[in-house]
Amino acid sequence: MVRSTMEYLVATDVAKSFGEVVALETADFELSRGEVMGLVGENGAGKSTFVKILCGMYRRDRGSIRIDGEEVALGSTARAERAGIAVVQQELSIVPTLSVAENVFLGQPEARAVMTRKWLLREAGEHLDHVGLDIDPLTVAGDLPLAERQMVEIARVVARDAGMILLDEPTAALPDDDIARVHEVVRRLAAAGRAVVYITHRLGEVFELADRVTVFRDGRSQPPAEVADLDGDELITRMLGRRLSQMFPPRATSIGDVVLEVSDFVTEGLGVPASLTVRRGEIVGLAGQLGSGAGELLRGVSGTQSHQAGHVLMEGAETQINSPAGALANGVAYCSGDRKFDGFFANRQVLENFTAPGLERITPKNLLSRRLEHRLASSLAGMVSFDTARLRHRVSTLSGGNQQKVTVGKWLGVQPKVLLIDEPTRGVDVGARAEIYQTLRDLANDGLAVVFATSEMHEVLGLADSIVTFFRGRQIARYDGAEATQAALIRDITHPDEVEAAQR
Amino acid sequence: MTIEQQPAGPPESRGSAEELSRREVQQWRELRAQRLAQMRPESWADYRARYLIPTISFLAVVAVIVIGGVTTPGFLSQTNMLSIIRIAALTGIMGLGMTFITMSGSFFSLSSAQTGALCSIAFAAMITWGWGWPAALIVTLLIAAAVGAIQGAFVAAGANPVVITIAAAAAIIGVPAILTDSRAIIIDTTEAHVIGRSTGFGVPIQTWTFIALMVIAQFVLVRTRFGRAVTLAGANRDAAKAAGLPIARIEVWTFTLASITAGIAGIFVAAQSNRGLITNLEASTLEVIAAVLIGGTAIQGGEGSMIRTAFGAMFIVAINSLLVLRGYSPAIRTLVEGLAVVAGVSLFWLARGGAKR
Repeated sequence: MVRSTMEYLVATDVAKSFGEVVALETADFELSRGEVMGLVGENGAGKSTFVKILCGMYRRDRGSIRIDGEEVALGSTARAERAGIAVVQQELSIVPTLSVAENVFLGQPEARAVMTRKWLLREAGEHLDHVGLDIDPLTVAGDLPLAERQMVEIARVVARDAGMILLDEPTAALPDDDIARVHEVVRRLAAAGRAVVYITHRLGEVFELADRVTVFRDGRSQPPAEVADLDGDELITRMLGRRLSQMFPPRATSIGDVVLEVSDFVTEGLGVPASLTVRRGEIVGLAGQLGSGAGELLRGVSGTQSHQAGHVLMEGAETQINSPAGALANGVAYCSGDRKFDGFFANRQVLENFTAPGLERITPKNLLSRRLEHRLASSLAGMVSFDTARLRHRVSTLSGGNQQKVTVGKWLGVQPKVLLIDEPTRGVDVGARAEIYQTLRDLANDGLAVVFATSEMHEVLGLADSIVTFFRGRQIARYDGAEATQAALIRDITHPDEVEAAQR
Repeated sequence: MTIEQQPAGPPESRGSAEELSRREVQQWRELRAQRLAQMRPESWADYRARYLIPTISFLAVVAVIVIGGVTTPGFLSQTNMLSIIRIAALTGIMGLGMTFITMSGSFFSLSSAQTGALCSIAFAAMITWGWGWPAALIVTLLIAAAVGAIQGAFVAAGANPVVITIAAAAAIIGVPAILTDSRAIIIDTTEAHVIGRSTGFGVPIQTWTFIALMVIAQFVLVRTRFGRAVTLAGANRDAAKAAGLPIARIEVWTFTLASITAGIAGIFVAAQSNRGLITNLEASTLEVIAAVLIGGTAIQGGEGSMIRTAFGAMFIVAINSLLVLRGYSPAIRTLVEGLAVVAGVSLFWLARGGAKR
């Protein structure tokens, strides 16, 4: 690969806050033509904020971004596009009912007002060639397999003739063979002189694809490193820093009887039967990437999604759970990983959020008791160390960490025996994470059984009493929390051979 | 024992009197801060959410009345004022039921006017059959409840509320249209006058009913389990489902309540005019929706109140009356009503924090 010496894009001291929450303290970034720059970092490290600034989705508070030496504003997605920055988003944005060719020209400036069949065939064919996609451009996009839809997405972005292409976890949802195809396209783009930013959670991909890598941590960027000079351990240390060990409370001292037993469980996204045993006072960590089956197991057990097979035993008794309400009735609370979607009521007060699942407890004879409501909310706030002076604030005005406390805390109002949490610290800053870990441990020490799913390895290593790993819809292995190693977990949850193959 | 004697206990735990009182003051301050925090809206956003929007809709009503009084002779006359509050009461009563639907996040029922018309015909027919007004009232409201519950059941099963209520509107008006051949059923006794034409302290019964129902509805909305569940279902339907709230039951009940309030309006119209007719309350649906929105209840649900809807109803009716007195055509009145909805909804959107949300 040929790398020009002149940097294509240079960002200096870029920062962004949302109210009181600092999402990105400071970021420096550089990118050359013809290179693939890996971009890695934990959730909440500032990586995605920085990427959104580059895409024009957020406006930076300060800092400079220069493209070819010229300062650019990037105030909106349209302006970022004009500045030559094209983005392949993680969520596919192609229209399934349109043809592949029509999708390629969706929102394209050079698209004609009237697109004839002939014109589409000729023009789209060319763009599809660029990404090595050999299909009939008139195929309906929705009929394509996922990987090819992803390629169409890339073709569309490439068609913009952008100088810089940003790919946000383009392989997150793809099976092995298809990942290779995406990698091939990325290499081609770089070889053609484009500057490529490749965001990924799979460290193996960094070694396989990237020339350099920029690591984000705790809202700051670190100077770009040559991938050739790194190994996997070094990269992980750079991502996590050293503050980790202080973030976690001590492990459980006394673990009780089995509360929840799940066996031969099959649900969408978890094709191979899985099993799980959770005891009173225990925290079980399910480790796996997005779509690995870890989060799916929680959704299935909680009745949030239906399951195709399996048994659920609560305290030894066979239990049928087919809905969230059914789960709650059986003492199982499920806290989804997408709190904005179904975790809280953004425009209502914290007080009302805390008491929502346990509404019966504050409405004797169907009448709402302000006194009982305040008492319940205060006690739940105490359990998750939420500041009671803020009970009347609306949840939308809180920081991510406080929102998460409300999201988790409200479930304690139904006095569950088992608490299932998907991604307990997603979008939560580092300081508040430690508090959430402490809260979960306190709850476990009080006899609650906690199961959480996460894609962050240090979280399971630091918090869980026992660990189960997942990869692409199947359970891989089970570890004792104190004995598991980072290397073993990463091997389990990433492409098991990917890391080794890339480092060889 | 002398007064100079020191209190018992080891000297270090005793502390100085100064120290003790300082601690007490500190504790008292904390307690007071806590109490205040419970009473006072905490932030500007919270204040805005609670008071700003109803204040705007109240001021809008006052503005229309003041402008009308200054510019238009006869607007503030007793006859006109009584007529405004009587008509506003009908729009308002229907608005109360509609507000439950809107609050729960199911937008609107588009069959309110037709339900009202159906009930005016049913009520008139029962009176002409020689029934007493209490029996006619109760049976008519039961019909209204059934009509609403059926629509609610469809919505609970996953049907789109707009589609279901449009379809229901056609079906609801179709049955009496066939049965009466679209002719009016005339009540030729005074049996219904007690409902239609009585007054208390010079104020029409419609208005008293409206005020009473508004108080009840507001109480149900903010002080009962049902009302809280409705509010939460509208604030975030997915979160409400996850929290185990009975969404289906809420749907059935809100549509039933909306239908009953439409039925009450229909009965009032029949009793006052002595006629049951399929064009009674015609075109009132959009006016009711306008009242809910101009009052400041959020169209996506989860935020609003019955009092806001009352202000909205008064605003719509007052402005309509003003335009009538000034001799504007119905077309102009509809236009102004539409513009008022756009202006009101935009203003409330800004008041809620605009694009930041």
